[in-house]
Amino acid sequence: MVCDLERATGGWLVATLSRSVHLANEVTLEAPELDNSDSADLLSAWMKARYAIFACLIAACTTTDDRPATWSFISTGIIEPACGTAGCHSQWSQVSGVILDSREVAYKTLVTAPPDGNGPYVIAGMPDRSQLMFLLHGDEIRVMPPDAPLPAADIALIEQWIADGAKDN
Amino acid sequence: MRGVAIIASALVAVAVQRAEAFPELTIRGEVARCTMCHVSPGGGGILNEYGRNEAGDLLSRGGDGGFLHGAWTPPSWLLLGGDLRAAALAYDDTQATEGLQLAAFPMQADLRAAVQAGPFAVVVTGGLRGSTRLYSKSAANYVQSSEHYAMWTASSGAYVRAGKFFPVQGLRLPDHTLYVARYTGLDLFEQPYGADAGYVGDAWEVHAAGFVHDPIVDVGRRESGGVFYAELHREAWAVGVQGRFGTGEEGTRALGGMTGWVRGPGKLVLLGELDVINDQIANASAVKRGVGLLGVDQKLANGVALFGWYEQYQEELSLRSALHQGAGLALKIYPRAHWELIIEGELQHVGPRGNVGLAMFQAHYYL
Repeated sequence: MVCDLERATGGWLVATLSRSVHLANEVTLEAPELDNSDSADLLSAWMKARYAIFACLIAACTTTDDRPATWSFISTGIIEPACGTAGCHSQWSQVSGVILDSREVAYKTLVTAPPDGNGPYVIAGMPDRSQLMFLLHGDEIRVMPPDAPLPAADIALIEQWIADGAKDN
Repeated sequence: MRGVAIIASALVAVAVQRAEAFPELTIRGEVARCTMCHVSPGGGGILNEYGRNEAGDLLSRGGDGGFLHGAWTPPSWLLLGGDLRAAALAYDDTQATEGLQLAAFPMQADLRAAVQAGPFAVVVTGGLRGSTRLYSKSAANYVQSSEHYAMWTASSGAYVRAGKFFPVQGLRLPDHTLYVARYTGLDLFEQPYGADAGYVGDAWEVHAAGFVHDPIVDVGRRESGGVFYAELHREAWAVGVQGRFGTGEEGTRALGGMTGWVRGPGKLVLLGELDVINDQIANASAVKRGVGLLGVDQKLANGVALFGWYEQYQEELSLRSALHQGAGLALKIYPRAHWELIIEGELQHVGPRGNVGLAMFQAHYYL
């Protein structure tokens, strides 16, 4: 479990937790040397609580993505906050004529009738031929969104949605 | 080529920032609360007379902080100001096929005014949106007002206001691209319309607001709801709690979180924010998101400060591969009153792309 978490977080979280637990051990061992026994008890209780928190954090994470590969979820949960921001693909800015900040318009932009006339960004059923996937992966082109690329789980979910027919569901 | 054009413009557009307060001053304990220098109860925006007087001595390395450097003083019932900001940036990611991207662009051009009559004030901020390219043939699309509101303030610190503004929430750091801003309803131009009331004192403050989505500047999550923020501050530390609820056609979001900071020796400050968001998306399932920031601020000398941060955003708390991580370091220099220079480096580790790096220089001048 810890190894999976380490892979998922680039090692940072596990390293931090390990250091914290190590520190917790050191401090707990040193606690009896404190003059104030109440403080030592409080410190010990706090360290135990930290063990519990870390255990919960580690146990809570899974590798299974239970999120639905539907346009309703992908549009509101992933595309709009990542791409439809004020400075980029909002109705207000429309950078390169692309609007991705509402469910209906974003679907039209990506799947049916892109306003720039360059063909759809999504080819239903064919994620490996959809330009959206090239943009999200950054294959032969700089990754989108450029400031905050999507995590692997989001890209996999969008790929699944396209493979399932890119329905407006 | 289309892709390159899209990226170049988007790259720059997302970097556009708003000018806000310098919350480090409050956090470092150099002023007791935001309202000592600002009209707004949450800080940011137009400066009051005290704020201008202190701008030369407290914040920067000297100079006259008055409007137009003191060349002309508006009547006492009128406060005027403005912000001009330009930036240059370099961007790269570890697997880029097109090399380093460079850009320079105007970031902000805003004018600010506040008319005061006793305890009442009307505040307006408006100007041009920053952009590297023309995206619209209509000039009106480049003009915007990020805030306008009427407010009543008592000498005790209590206030009531109504209009367009960001409700008081979170650490109130100036960079809207930080995860704790962009994923909690505080991203660029997401100011809603609403009303709030609260109290701001030397030892504690509390704010409660109700809001509706701005139908004109139609960006961000289209939701209406409420925000609550309370903060207790002492000589060496502060802790805040917050809640936000918003609902609309796209779903319902509920946020709960904490903020805090503690002062160390030698003008060192540690600060942090942690929020959990339950996002019930319409016609889909609910997700639980988590967003947090840990920062360290160090004043190096009068008018020179260093701010570093680490941040995380987990799109689904139970899913380990839905994690965003970022870290950055910003050197802030205030050479004279009215001037702010920022040299900033930022690194993000997200998904299969590996690392994404951004270096930016900002020059900010306020009238």
